[in-house]
Amino acid sequence: MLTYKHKRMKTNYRIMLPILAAVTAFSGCDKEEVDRVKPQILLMEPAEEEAYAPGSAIHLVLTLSDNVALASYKVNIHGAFDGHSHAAMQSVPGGLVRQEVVDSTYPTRVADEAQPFERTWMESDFVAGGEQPIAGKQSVTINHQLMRIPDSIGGRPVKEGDYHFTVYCTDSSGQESFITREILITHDAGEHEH
Amino acid sequence: MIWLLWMTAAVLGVKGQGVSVKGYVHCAEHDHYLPAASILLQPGERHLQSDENGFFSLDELEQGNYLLTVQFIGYETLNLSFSLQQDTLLHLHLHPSALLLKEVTVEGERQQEQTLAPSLAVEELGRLFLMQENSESFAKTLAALPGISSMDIGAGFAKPLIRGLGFNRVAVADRGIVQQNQQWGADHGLEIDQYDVDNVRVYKGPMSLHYGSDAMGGVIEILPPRLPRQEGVRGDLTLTGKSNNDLTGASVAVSSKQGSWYLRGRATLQRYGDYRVPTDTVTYLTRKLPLHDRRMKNTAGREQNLSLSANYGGDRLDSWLHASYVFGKNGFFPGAHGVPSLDRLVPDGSVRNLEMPLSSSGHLKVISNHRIKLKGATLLADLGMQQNRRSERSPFHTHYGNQQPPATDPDLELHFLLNTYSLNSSIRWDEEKRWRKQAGIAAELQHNRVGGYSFLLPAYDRLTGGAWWMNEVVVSDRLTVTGGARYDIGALTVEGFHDPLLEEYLLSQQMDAGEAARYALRAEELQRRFGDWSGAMGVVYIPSLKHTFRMHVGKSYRYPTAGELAANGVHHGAFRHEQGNSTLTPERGIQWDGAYRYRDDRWEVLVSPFLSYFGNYIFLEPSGEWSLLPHTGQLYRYRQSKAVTGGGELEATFRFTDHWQLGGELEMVRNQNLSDRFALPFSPPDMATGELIYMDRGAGMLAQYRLRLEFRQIFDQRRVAKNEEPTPGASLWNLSAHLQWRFGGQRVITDLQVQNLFNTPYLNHLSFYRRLNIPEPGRNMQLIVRVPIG
Repeated sequence: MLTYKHKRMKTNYRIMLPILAAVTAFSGCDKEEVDRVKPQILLMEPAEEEAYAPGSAIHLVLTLSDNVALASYKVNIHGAFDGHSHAAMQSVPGGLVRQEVVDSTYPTRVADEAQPFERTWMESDFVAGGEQPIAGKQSVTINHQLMRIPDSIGGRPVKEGDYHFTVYCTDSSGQESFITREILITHDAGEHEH
Repeated sequence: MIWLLWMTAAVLGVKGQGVSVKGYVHCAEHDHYLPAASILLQPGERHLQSDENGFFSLDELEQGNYLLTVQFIGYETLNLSFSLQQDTLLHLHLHPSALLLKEVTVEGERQQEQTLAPSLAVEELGRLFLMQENSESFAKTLAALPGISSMDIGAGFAKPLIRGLGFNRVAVADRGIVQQNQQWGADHGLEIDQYDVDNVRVYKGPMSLHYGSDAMGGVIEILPPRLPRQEGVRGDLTLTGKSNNDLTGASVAVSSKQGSWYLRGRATLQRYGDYRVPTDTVTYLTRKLPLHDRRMKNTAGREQNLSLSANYGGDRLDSWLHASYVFGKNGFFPGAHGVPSLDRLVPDGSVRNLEMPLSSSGHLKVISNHRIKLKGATLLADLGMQQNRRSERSPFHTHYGNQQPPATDPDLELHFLLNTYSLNSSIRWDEEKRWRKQAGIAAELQHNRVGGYSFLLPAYDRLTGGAWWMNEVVVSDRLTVTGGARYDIGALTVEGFHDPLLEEYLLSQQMDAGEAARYALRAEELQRRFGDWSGAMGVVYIPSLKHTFRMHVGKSYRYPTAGELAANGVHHGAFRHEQGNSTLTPERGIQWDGAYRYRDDRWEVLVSPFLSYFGNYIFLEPSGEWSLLPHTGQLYRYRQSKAVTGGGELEATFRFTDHWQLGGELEMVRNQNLSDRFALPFSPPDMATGELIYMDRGAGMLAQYRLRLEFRQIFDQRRVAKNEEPTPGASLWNLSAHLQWRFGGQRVITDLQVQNLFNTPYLNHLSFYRRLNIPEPGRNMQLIVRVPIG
């Protein structure tokens, strides 16, 4: 599309030069060392739709890695209820499908009083529990059971249902990654043995 | 071509020293004057432009034979040879070009009515362009221009970006008054009735000198309609249908001109359903969400607009009164609002219904423009009043377990109530002389209140004012130099906001009291005063009709907004904890723009490079510290950094026969935050466009037509800000047919478009739904039928 310019429009070179100069200058900058790679999170546990009973501890197994250096991580859990019926998700090639589940499968105990559980564990919470800080490392595998789902919140039972479980991780240049799973909190989960 | 030309000449029997040729340039079709038409008289190479009334005058001519050439973009070139013996008055009627170009009257070769023209590259668009390029929203229609891109919010709303600068860095001025709305939030669109826009001018470059703060990236000026020359009542009916979101729309205008008075009213109604995308699933929060029937659930909407304009055009006083109300209601994709859940994405039985979450916005505007001709000077005044009423509704939900629904209107999540009062006034003198001057003052008062159970933007009051002085020196017929300076002051008061529920929640999460109090301070009470100057200098050099050179250097600035200074909390649209910074200073830029245009019978080439340096560009930076608020990652804090942006556009059109035309455009923006060496957020990707056009006169009822095949290559955008996702490029094909019919005496114009011909899934790097990996709308067929009456 531009080739005709060379034939017809010699005067344009004078104008084109500043553009080319500017473009070259900018593309030159791109080659300098800027860490554009985000940290990587490999979450092994908990698995998608894994069920936990109130009072149990979540078994967290994950590998965090970065091309330069990791900075920090945190974990958040909060309710993913939509109020109406409970639906379970199943992974199939290409995505998730809804699997209709009759409501009564998960009887809500004293439904009106149930309190949604929500908590963020900062890295400092894990360090206080004996873990090593990840800052400065290139790859860390974390395997602990420091996150406990309470039996009750303020005297009220923990609301059963789907919860979002999100792990956030940053690297030394401020790049951030996160990964979200859906887990289930239910009294039917029984004891977790791994 | 001769039959296109229709010319009358009146011979005046006045004798003088030399003889003169005076004349008016008209549009033969619509009967209005053509200002700034290029006029060349040979021999003698006398070159000039018609004034704003289409008038021109050539004096001190010797008797003899002359060739007069009149050019105006979008019209057939008129060549008139005549033998001049005595003073002559010509009425030249130019016919719209059979080659219906994009009707882009580029460059500021046209006299600006309100202020002396800056020597920036400017693109001027008329109704033909706006209808031919009509897209989902006004901003997206403008994005067809090189250097302009749109940040889309689904299929209904969008906001414009000029060379990578957007939000508060771009001003949209309707009839001289800066429009309030698109700059206030990621999901706020540009509330303009596309059908009520007759003429638009787009300035790419700093316009602080003319518009004060917020115009550093450029200005989109909406101009009042052109007045018909003949009296009478006219009407216009426009019907629109779009296949992608099942849109139906109608717009009706009625106008009347009697004596010095002109009245026009327009009403527009549009309804649309959920838009279709070429994908079955999207990924959000690392989870795959299904899109049932390949439609974006709950993105339906509607639009209801009314406008009324009145003009009195006397000998000394010319006044406009314009009132408009633009109301839009549209839904948000529930997967992007709050905690996503698959249940909320299950079809609700209708693709046209509007459920929560949704936003509705009403924008009321009253503008009055006056021009008073004094002896040797012109006094100009623009007054404006605007009211924004915007609300977002979402079933009451809580980010913190302890919040109770409000007693009244429990689903009102966010409420934005802004009143703006504006005044611009200036005086222009020595208009006929070589050194023309204009001086003016401007003032604006904003009063903002907020409501709803969520909190985003703090309530604030802002008063700004400025004074400016602008010169235009016509050094010769070929060279014009412009320059000016302006100083603005401003005072901003932000109302503090403490969120006791959040504090209680954080304390329940074992946060210490001091920290909880800091997080619960959703807006810091503050008072700020600002003052800053702007200036510009430029030259326009037109050595001949074929070449035009422009150069412009401007110093621009922008005040920080209330949100950038004081807001603190989760932005529910972005799921980020964003924190204002009360130490921000005005953003300042030094911006250089150049433009070279070559134009002959077959070729038109425009090269427009730019380079800007910002001393303290305001941007949101990931701080590396975790936010302690739920559902967020790290804290994003506003800060300032040195930044550069540069790039340019290249446009070329080649008419290889009278019927065939080939066009191409390239646009490129490069920028860098000089402190972290990343790109600035929201940088548009490089783009290349090619088009092949065939146009001809039709037969029978088809008067003329224009067919276009367009190819658009969007390149990968890998130059991203920290934590921004790179976006892959795409190749898109579009088809359009512009057909003008004559059924007896009735003219009917139809514009048929097929956008995204191959239903290609692609992402717009700048779109609101980009981070959900939701592609842009799929294939769309649309038909616009316009019936001018009278």
